[in-house]
Amino acid sequence: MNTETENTPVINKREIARLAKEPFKTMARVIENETIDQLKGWIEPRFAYVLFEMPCNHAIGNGEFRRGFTLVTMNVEHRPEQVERFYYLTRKGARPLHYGNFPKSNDGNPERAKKVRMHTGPSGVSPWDELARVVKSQLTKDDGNTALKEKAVGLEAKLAEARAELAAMKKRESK
Amino acid sequence: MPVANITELANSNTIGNALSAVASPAFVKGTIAMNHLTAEDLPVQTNVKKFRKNGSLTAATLAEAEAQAVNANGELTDTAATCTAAKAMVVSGLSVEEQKFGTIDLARVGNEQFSAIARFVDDDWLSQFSNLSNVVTSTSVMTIDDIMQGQLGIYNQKTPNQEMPLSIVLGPRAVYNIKKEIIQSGAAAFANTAMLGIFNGANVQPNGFIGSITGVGDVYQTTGFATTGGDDVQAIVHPMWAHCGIFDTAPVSWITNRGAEGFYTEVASYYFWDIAEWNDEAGSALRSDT
Repeated sequence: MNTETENTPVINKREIARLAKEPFKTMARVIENETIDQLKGWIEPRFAYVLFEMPCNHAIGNGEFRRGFTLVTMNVEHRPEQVERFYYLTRKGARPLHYGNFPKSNDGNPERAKKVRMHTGPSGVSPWDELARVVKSQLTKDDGNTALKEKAVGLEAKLAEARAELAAMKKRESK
Repeated sequence: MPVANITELANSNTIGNALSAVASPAFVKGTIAMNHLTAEDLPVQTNVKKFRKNGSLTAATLAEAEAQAVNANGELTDTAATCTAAKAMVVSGLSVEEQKFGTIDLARVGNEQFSAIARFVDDDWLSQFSNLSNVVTSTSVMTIDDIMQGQLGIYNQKTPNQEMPLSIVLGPRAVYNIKKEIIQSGAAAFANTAMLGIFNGANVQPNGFIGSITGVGDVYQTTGFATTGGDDVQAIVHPMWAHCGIFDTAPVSWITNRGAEGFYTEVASYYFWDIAEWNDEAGSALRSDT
């Protein structure tokens, strides 16, 4: 996947085809353009997963890096007890965007249903359900931050507009 | 009612016809993780181990006769990465018929179980590459420049022990493209055999090692990487400081005869381990077309 859509031309035909597709619809609202680009043509894995948007340093050639965002897919199909890793990623600034394909005790695939029974301990709670609860709660928490961020972007745009108007007025007055 | 998933006589090659002296091994991935991370024993009386990360202090200058109170520069804070032991396991049943007349015995089942557990643990390490914050995304296929940018990402972060060769863990397609680039470059440097380390050990070693890219690191080939958006997420990592793990000394096997349940021997193996990202700065993810 070539994420350098602004700084370098996309020369990979596969990338051109991917970028023409609609972005994958995530549970969380995505406002970063770079992430939206990466979600275009993103194929949902067949395994149980949690999808994150994580801040990262992109190498952009000539020894330079720029801050940006990357998608991280956490595979929880065979190891659902990964709440520790989930929180580790959120501490690194990663934001869960979506989760899916979690096996259920009444799963259509008998092997997956069996897997849930194998992992359900004496508490009777499936670890995938527990993980889903944690992800959902983080999604709700992040939603408020995203709304604030969105509002801030809107206010910044208004401020920039007002500044430009003021500069133009000052210019007119000085003439 | 028959018990499901028992390894029965029909599962093995029996002597109805003559059998070859050599059996083809299973076509499964090799395991390479253990050489590229810091491994410690499982803790005792707890399943959690913290891998310590030392903090540091900052010095400053001070004018003559000036006082300096204790400040943030002098506050030393250590942090840690946490490993919580998880259990990987395989349970098999071997029918008494298979044991008596077949060619699969309990030792073979045990060995295969241990290999399966090793692959599971290995994949757990590979899956952590996508968590790395330094990301190099190839325009299409992997190039030496991409790997060098990954190396730069690690060195930029002041990763200690830079005298050690970094571990470059790639999939077969990326390795192919690296070899192709070297062959096609025609650069004078690559006319020198000393620069062709990646071809010197041309055959892939059991630990995945295929050779070195001079001045960059040692290249290992494996499969089982996480993927994202059509890319394999491979990595270049510092073998000491990027990842850490706790590992049991060996898998444990239980062998139990089952009569009433269907006359088979149950072989159950389990293994405790965990792998964590110790220092994000000591690795770079390398993404290239799958």
